[in-house]
Amino acid sequence: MILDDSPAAASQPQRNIIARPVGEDTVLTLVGAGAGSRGPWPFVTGIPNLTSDVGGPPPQYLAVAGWAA
Amino acid sequence: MVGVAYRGGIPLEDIEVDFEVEPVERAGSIGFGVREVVRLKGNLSEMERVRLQRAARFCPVGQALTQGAMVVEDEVQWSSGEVTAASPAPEGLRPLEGNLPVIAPGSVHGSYLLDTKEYDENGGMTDEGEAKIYVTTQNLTHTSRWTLVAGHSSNGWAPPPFPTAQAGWAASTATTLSRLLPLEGVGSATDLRVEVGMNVTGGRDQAQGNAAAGRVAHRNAVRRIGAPGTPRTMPVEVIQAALLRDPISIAYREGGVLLDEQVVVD
Repeated sequence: MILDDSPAAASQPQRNIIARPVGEDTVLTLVGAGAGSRGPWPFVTGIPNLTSDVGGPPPQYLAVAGWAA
Repeated sequence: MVGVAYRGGIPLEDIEVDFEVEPVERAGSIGFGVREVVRLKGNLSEMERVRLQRAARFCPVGQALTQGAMVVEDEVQWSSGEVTAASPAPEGLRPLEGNLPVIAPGSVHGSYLLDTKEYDENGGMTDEGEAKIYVTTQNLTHTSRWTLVAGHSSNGWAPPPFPTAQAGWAASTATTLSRLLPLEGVGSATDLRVEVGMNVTGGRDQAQGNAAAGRVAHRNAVRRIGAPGTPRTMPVEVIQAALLRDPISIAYREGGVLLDEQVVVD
């Protein structure tokens, strides 16, 4: 399956975006993780905290970035 | 919008978009809202401006966040191996209590990269091209900034818009579960895994047709929660109760993220 927001036909959805926490305030997400998928594109998201720099934008901002694109 | 303009013969020369992001109270959770300003460049009639404004709101990602257009099918797989369907959540299930991170105010600025548009040998546009996106948020002590690229390119140099938004949803889900689930004695946050996928029909042409016409197209998504423990130590109802509070899941369910929008023609 080519990862795009315009698949040509209906099919059983393939879960090819995978997110895992890698610390208390950071999540690593891989887009296009499945075999045959286009990608992969990694994203780091983070949340504001007192102890460290934020590794990436908060998840809501990543969703809005997709909207902006 | 570039695709809608191209298909409609609208002389759109350039486009920029700004979103101001702010926290918004939602029943039982923390939501977020956006104020959008789209700047169009070109010799556009009022009708063309209105058409592009509608396209901005009814693009696939915009629909998901503003119209409640996502239909989500959840399942849970425990580290012990069992798998169960987790949607719909039981009626009357109370959202799980606990502290979620505050959504810091900030902004998202998108600039269209004109020279990334792609054409076939007949001069027809095959890919709308990419956008450069600046994200700015307040950390607790200072401002943080990031640059992303997303869009449509034949060689997949950048992630398309909807998968980028879905990555945000997956990350939001992982963040919410890591903060709310009672993991002590069962596992740790790093044992959590969120997998999402989406099923749509009709392709990009239909998506752009829907955007141009202001039609809401429901999209089906699947989400699998990989959880530590067993159905006894981490009951599915607890996971469902936590998911009820996830900010992007709430937006997908209820829409309403768009607080204000303006379209300016230069």
